[in-house]
Amino acid sequence: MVEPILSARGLTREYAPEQGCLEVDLDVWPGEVVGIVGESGSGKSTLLRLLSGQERPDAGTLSFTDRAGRQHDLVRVSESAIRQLQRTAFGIVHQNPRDGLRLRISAGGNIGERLMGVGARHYGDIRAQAVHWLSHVEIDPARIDDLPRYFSGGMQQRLQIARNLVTNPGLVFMDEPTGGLDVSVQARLLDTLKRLVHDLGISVVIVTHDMGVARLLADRLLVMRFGRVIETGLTDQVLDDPQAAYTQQLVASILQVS
Amino acid sequence: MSLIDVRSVSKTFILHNQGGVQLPVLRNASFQVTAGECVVLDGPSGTGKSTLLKMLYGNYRADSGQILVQTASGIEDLVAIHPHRMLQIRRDTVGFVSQFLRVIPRVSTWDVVCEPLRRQGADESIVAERARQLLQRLNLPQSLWSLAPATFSGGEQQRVNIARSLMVEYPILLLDEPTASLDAANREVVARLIEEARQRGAAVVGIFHDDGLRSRLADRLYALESAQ
Repeated sequence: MVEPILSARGLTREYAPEQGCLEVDLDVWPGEVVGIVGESGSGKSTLLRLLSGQERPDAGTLSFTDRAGRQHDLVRVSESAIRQLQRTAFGIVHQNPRDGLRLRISAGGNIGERLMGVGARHYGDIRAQAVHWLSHVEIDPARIDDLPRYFSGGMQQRLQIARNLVTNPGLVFMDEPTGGLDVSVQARLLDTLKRLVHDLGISVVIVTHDMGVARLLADRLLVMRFGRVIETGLTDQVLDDPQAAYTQQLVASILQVS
Repeated sequence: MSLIDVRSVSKTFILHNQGGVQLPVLRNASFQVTAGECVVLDGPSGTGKSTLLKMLYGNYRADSGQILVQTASGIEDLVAIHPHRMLQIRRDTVGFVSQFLRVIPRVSTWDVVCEPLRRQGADESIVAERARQLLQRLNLPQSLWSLAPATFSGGEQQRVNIARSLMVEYPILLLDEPTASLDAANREVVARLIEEARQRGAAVVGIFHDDGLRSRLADRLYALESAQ
């Protein structure tokens, strides 16, 4: 049986009573997309920051196994080791692409910078990789020397994803990646994400308040409220047969578009 | 040997946001299905046929009882397993043909159909050959294959759905009115595909409102009664 690549037990970070993230257990297996849903203030973004080492827990355990099979204790690991993991083994896609991109260097530079962070030095190789990844996320490689500040929101988000995937991370964290985008642009981004997840065999933990995004992208769901996970299950099971009163309310509030 | 063994499964829906109303839908449902057998769920509407079928796919939860399924690595109880394991069972063991197609808007018919077999890691030439066969047999013209199914007619979408669900030769096949919006010619194609699945040893559980199809495919009926 394949082991989880990320495993959290009793993960806790409490800012104030019922605020933050309380006693969360979570396993992520290779190649699966886990969705964290809930309203704002439910603790889902805090959980994501804890899982990705952007913040340290007050209590609990968290272990990560990288692609080479090495285990990392993410609670005790040093700051520099966490940053090294974030540069290589993790991808972190922010809701606002401006938080994950450098707007004053070219699109190609944004991708190349992360490669150089893991030791790439050959200019031709880096540029070839950048072209490859731009086309992978459906950005015209002719835009390689353009500054991302002149890209549309959807293109910036694609570039942020390319920048993260170039180091072949095993695990990608996404916080509302389709948040600020038009519906038609969202659909295209979701399609790209789904394809990349499958082709590259990466695992994804995605935070979203959009149940439609959760349904299309996530294999499994965690529903959060007041800092706690109140329900878990297969995505379609949670959405079609919700058990908790709160989840029923959340699902009932989805607009039926199709 | 049973591939499916349902033991005393019960379910009550509790509507927390409508005053906690309790709706009992199933009480002590029990039946077995062996390899190569087709069991049709029977009973008036509201007796939980669809609910029971969805439970066999892990889409609905059971309150009590067991749903034992034979997988490549042994017998597993779908009522008790971790959702991660259920994903693997859906990939390899249990297929479901629903009445509705649910896909990402922009994905082509071809990729929608190929996906379940690709997910198993099958060779692309095998995937393509199987997809071509199924799409042709289901009378979906090649001109549609590169298009997203969102704009297709109900019957066309239904056939895309059937092709997708039959890409993998699952040991267990669940069918929820697979021919609901099909014309006579396509109904015949689907009936033959189901017969072929049964002949290769699949355990089939279905809901069919079409009397002709039901008497042609059913080895047995499992009669459901109102749980209220």
